[in-house]
Amino acid sequence: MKILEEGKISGSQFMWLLVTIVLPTAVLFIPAVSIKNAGTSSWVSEVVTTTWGFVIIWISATLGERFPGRGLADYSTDILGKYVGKFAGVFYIFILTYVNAIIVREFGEFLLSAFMPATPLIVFNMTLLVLAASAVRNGIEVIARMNQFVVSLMFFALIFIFSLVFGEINPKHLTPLFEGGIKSIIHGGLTPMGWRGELFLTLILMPYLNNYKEARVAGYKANLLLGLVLGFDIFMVLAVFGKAAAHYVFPVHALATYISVAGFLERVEAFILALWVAGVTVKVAIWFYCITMVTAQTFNLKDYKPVVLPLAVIQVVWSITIYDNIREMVEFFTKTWITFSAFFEFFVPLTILLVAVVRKKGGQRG
Amino acid sequence: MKREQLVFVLAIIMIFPLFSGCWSRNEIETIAIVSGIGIDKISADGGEKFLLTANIVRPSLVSGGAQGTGGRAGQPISWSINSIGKTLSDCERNLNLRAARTIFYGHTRYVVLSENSAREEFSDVIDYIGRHPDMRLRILLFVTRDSPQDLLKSFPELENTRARQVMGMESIGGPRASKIDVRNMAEIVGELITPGVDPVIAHVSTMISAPTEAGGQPIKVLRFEGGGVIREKGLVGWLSEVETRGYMLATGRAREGAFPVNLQKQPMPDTTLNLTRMSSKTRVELKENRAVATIEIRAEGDLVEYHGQEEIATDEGILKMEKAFAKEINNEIMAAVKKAQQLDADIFGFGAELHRSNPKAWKHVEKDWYVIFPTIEVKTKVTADIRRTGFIADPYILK
Amino acid sequence: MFNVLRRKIKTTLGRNKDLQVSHQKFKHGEGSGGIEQRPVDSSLQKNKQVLQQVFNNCIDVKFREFELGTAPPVNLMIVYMDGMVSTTDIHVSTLNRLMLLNGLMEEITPGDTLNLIKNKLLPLAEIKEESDLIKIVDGILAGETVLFIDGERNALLLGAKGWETRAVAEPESEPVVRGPREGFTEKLLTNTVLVRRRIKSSRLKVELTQVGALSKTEIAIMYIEGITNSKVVEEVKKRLERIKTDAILETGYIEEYIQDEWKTPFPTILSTERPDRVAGHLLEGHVVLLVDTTPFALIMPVTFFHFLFAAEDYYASYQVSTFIRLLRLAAVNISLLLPSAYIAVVTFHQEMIPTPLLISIAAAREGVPFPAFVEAFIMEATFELLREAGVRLPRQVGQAISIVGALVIGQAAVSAGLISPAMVIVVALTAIASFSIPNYSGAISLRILRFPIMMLAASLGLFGIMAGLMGLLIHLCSLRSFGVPYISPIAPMVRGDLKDFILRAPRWAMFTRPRMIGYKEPQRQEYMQIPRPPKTNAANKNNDAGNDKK
Repeated sequence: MKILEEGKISGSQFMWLLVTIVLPTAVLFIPAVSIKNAGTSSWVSEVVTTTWGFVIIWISATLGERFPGRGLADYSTDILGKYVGKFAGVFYIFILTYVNAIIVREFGEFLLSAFMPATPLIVFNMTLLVLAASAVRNGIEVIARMNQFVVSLMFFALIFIFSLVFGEINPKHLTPLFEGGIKSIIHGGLTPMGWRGELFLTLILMPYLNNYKEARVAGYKANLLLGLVLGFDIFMVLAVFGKAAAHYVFPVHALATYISVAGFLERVEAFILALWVAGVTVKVAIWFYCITMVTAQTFNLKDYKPVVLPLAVIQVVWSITIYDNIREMVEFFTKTWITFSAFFEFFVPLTILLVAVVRKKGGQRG
Repeated sequence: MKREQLVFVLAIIMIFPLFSGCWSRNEIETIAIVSGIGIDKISADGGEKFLLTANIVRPSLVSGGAQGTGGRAGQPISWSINSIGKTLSDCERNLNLRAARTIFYGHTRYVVLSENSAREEFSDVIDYIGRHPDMRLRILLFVTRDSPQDLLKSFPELENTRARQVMGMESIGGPRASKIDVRNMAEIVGELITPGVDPVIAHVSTMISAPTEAGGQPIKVLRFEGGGVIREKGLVGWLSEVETRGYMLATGRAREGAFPVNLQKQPMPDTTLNLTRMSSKTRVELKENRAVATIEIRAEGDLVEYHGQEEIATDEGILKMEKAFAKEINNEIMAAVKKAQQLDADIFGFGAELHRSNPKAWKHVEKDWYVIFPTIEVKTKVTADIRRTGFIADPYILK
Repeated sequence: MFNVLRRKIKTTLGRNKDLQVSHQKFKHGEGSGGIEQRPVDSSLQKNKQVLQQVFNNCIDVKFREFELGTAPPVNLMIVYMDGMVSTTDIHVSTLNRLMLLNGLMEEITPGDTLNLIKNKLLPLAEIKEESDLIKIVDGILAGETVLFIDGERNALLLGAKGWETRAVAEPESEPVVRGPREGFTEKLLTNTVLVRRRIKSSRLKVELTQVGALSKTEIAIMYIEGITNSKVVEEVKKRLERIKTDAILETGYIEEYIQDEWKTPFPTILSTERPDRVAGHLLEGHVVLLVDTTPFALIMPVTFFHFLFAAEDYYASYQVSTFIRLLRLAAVNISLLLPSAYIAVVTFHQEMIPTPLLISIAAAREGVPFPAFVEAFIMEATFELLREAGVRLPRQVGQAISIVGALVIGQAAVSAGLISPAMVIVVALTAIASFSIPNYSGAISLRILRFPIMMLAASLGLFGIMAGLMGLLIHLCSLRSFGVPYISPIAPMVRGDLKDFILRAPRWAMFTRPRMIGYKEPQRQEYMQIPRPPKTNAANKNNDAGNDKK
């Protein structure tokens, strides 16, 4: 079956795609949750999260390498049989759309509360999804190219914030080190694991690589980079604000508002925000692309372009109706997200892999 | 293909009305730029109400400096309005019963609390400021024994606006005397939340000064003095200027300051030593149910004024000065300690220090810290060095 | 009414016979009734008749009958377009030789006159035999002189072209401080020579083709074999062949016919007047089109960043070039975003402005009747109008009116209370920034895009600007110019090309050609020829101590 796309991306483009799949929203939300759970050891809990990331990449890459050039929805019918395989495809369409709606919603909430409180949420969500839809229609190569450009913007924004608040670091906020011991380190790493597990999208993006063998290494590199960046992020938030950071809903944003250099370089958070919008747009675009591809493969469509617009509409509506208020969203993230994400990021791919191994599907012969 | 394009175009057209709303749009002429607010509690209408005073800038009078601080037709540069309400947000909205513009806190620089609102409603104020999307983390907090209304009407004598005066105090003026410690919202909240530390907020007051123009009224101006101690729920007491400096010395926040000392056992101090830099380290230990805190200070200073008539730039002279300097620093710190223990507020952060160095011990004593704190034995170890004596060494007139 | 509809449907479907292009209608020659569709007649008079009919009412086509100075004399006739031929050649090299013969009084064998004339009598560099009257007519129109010989079935096309052309001068649209001051002219041959002088290699191929039914414009396709991607050359040739139109008056026409995407404001083909720039691009593997009657050459394939480079970047040292390129990058950003940023910040994000500035702006805007967006729009539109007006006016007057007029009008508007002074500064800065972008088409696209982004800024603030920029990015990422992604080397990131991107590496470090374009022959210079002084030998040290001896 065709994978419906002629574009091919290189290994380094793939790695940056994986970075963008996780980074933009993770950077915004993770520090608050981690610091609340783990206190001063929160930046070490990124080690736990990174290990989890390696596991996820391992599973995804192993499964993908057994079926080079084919997409998840495609070979799951081979592995699991016609009906269960199709069901897996539909299941993933549902889950991915749901998660993407959550992503759009959480970023729209952020934009709304931080910047333009009077604007209805639908404007933000719709703009994000329209841009993402137009990127998806142009194909994976365009998304990969956009991503390369946008990744440098995001890193620039992060470096900008971190270097300018470096002078506000108070080492006393970091002590006592490793308070709470191993238990709190693991506890602090639990919610971020949900985010890191989003790397399982490797499974869906692997067929578009020029050389599928590069996926594994690219995934490991991306995971490591994410661990470093997020660890540093948590470290900076903790060092500047101390445990009070657990109270802020968007601690990195608070960090950006706190920048004040030479009495004049102040209030730059709107500028940082603008760069962030670029990052999240690409993240939503990549997720949207995965959804579109899984849909097209599950239903054996000839071309994926007609599906884009309806999926966009679905996501816009869903992102509005998914939560009534911000409390529901925060509660979802602190309580439900961990097991929910572990299910579809870890258990289901692992099951598919095990079945494939047991039934001897794919691999060197495939 | 054609139909799909048609649908696409229709979809795009239907999106356009969304862009016409511009909901969050605030034209710059429709915002009231608040440069500082004052919060007070009064009895009105048979109950306790908040009184919010806001200083709104009149832009046309400030621009270009062409009209100077006088303003046109005698109008002051900022407009001070109050409103009464049951809660602070109520007050904020009630301001719009008098002001036709949107109240914009994005450029608010300072918040002044009156004594009774600091004592009783501190947590409410902090919550209001923290939750408000416009208020920034770098807002300065002050308390005053006078009324915030008067304060916000006071006359900024040298600066253009009151806000600039206040901000200058934080960064430029304050550190030169080290008798006040101006803190911003993020720092205060950070210390408030941390168990084992209690913040100190700068104390500002008004005083009467001579009129600016001949035949005019005497004017009220700002004056900064000392600090107010906050413990958990609100203000508990005041620190005088000297006590505040002791507090700043003990926590390593002092920068420069004049220390008059007595070298010759005279009734008046005859030498002034200027502090140039200092650092402090605190250690807290639990010894057999007693807590002992050791504060180590390293300070450097210069000789800036000498009334005596003996040679002072000699080895013994320097030694004498250093001893007197250390003694003076010690006195100030102990004064601050005494006051803090009297108020039962751990402003030095002994608790937090214990938590850092010995988390297990802290867990035991955390609940009773406010009982233990007044009984802490505080020892100081001051090393003071005198480095320079200015442009002359020995005084002009020698005996 | 139905007839109108029927005609319109036929036109859309391409079947309206009345709307045939000239090249279809006149495929068999332009004379009425296909009168040219015949070979040259052996009778001179017949030929003359036909030609006079074809060139009916064209008084600048001249017919000169004369006799060859042999015995018996042979009737000859030359036909030429007055003004397009070099009269010296006609008088001296043709008429003189043929009529006066310099004492070569031989017996003429009929049937041999042609060879005699061609090989022995006419000392001209270019002579061609031709028997097809259509081609002869084309030749006359292109400036050739045709020699008809009574009794022969072939005519001779004498290459004696010459007409008024502009001298080679400094290109006005791309002046430089340092660098050659030669610019292309309207004559194709001069232009190819200017390029040939810079690349003296037989690998530089020049192919000729003709486009345009009525203009029959000659187009030269130049490329360096072995460096250029041959598929690109073929594609260019194919696209040129596909052009079926009346006339090509400027390279802009060709550009619009052969470009990859027509829906985008961004140009995908670079045009330039400078031969040194053309030579530089040829050496990197680009394909160049030179078109007769216009001094602008087309270079393809190009990326977006080629429109931000100037020729001087390669002639100054790398520090200067890097600095100027960074300045230009800032200029691009300012030109596109400054008015929008001002609108967004002043209307939505007032907390971003430092307090004193905010107060000044607020004070300045107190009396202004328009909201910030309308103000910006009016000023920008006025400035664009002024700029266009400045281009059309005669040179001395135009400069004055553009700049001074704009500022004076701005000042007057401020005094009248129509706009705020901050807006004047914003608009002036934007205009200056857009002037500093070297290539006109690049600058124009940014100027156009400024307005939609301003509208987005007015409705959604910084978020709107960002959404607009993201849309722009998506668009740029999907463009290709003859197969090369439009914003490489940023996306896809080609690390080797970054040395000539925003920062310009020193000359000795630029050893590879841009990968996307010149990948067939990647290396262009010796590796690592870092300039350094010679190593000294202890014996011949030339240091200061040696001065004492003297």
